[in-house]
Amino acid sequence: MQDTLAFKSGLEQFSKNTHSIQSDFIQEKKLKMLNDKAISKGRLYFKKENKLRWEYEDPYQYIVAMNNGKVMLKDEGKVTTYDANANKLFLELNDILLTCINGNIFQTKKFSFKFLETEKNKAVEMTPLNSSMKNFIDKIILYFDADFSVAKAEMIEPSKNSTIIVFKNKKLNAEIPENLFILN
Amino acid sequence: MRKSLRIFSFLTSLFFIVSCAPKVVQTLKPVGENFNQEQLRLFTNDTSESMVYKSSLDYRGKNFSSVIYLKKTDEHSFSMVLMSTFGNTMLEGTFSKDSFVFKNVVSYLNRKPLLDLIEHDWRILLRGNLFDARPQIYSESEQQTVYQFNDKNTTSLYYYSIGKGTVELIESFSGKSKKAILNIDRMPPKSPESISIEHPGMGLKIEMTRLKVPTDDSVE
Repeated sequence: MQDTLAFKSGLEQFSKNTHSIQSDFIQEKKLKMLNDKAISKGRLYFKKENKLRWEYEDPYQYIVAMNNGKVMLKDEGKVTTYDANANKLFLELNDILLTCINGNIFQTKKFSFKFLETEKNKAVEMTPLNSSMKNFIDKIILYFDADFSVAKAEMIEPSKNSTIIVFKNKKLNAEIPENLFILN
Repeated sequence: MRKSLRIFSFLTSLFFIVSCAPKVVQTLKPVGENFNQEQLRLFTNDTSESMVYKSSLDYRGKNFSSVIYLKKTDEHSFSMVLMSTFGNTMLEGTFSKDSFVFKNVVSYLNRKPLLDLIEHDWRILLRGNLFDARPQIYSESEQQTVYQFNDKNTTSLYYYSIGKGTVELIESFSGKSKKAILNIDRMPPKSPESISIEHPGMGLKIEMTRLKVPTDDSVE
């Protein structure tokens, strides 16, 4: 990438001006050992500062909602609530998801960054610095659309299995009801 | 003298076989010689497609969900990937009759008792697929056949319902204690839609439900 300063400034503006994001997603995980891929689909909701609903609809119904330090899971009608700060795994997950979605990536000190440019997108390669995150993520590559919203996220695991999440039908700054971030 | 030793040895062996075998086996009668079913396979040996299950584990009031991909990867082995519902790999396993190997195990699952338990359950589930040794076959009625597999100190009984084509109950015994109870709702040529595994002594229950995965979409 030639002008990283302009790119960083564009991302900061996006983060500042974006209060909510709604998007459909398709997730594809490549399973090297099985020479197969696992596809799932769903819908994502983000609302500033730190409210997130990650809803899998196909092939299974599963909702994760993150709301001000609480992580709620809904699986087959059952809701389980965790304190993200008391659970290291959820805390890491919470940080990664929020960081990737709201474009506020450079504020975190948990990754080193490398700037890339493909034919279609500008991209940032994030490599985790702490050992607990390195345990399940080798690197994350975020691909950005021209408006600086995330178009695609690619997560590569230490096993070299990779997961690609493509965001489609994005709506920025639309009203999102608060109750979507509360599971009961 | 030699004859009486042989009789003594036979009786001793019989005593050990009968006393170590689960009580239910002692009441079963072997099926006739014209029985054609040679082996009991729970999963299809089709190598072209993965079988995908959503798994829900209940242990001491806590619930843990995951997704399991299982595939016959070559003539002699099955491979399994256990993923979180978010899609990150938690462990991978390759199972053959000679070895059960786990790799890429995330640190919080990398505990020997847990891996031993996973191996134990998959050994029972894949026994008919992986092992050539034929089971002993009994018949309780015209509708039900019981297969007995022996592996070191563990005896497994598969209750095969002939009419329904299902394995309704598998019990794995070690000595007198029941280690695992499994229910499989159907058999090849179609793979099981649901599998439940219960470990009575541990208060652990695992439910696996087959998923129909979308194949029409790709992110590319």
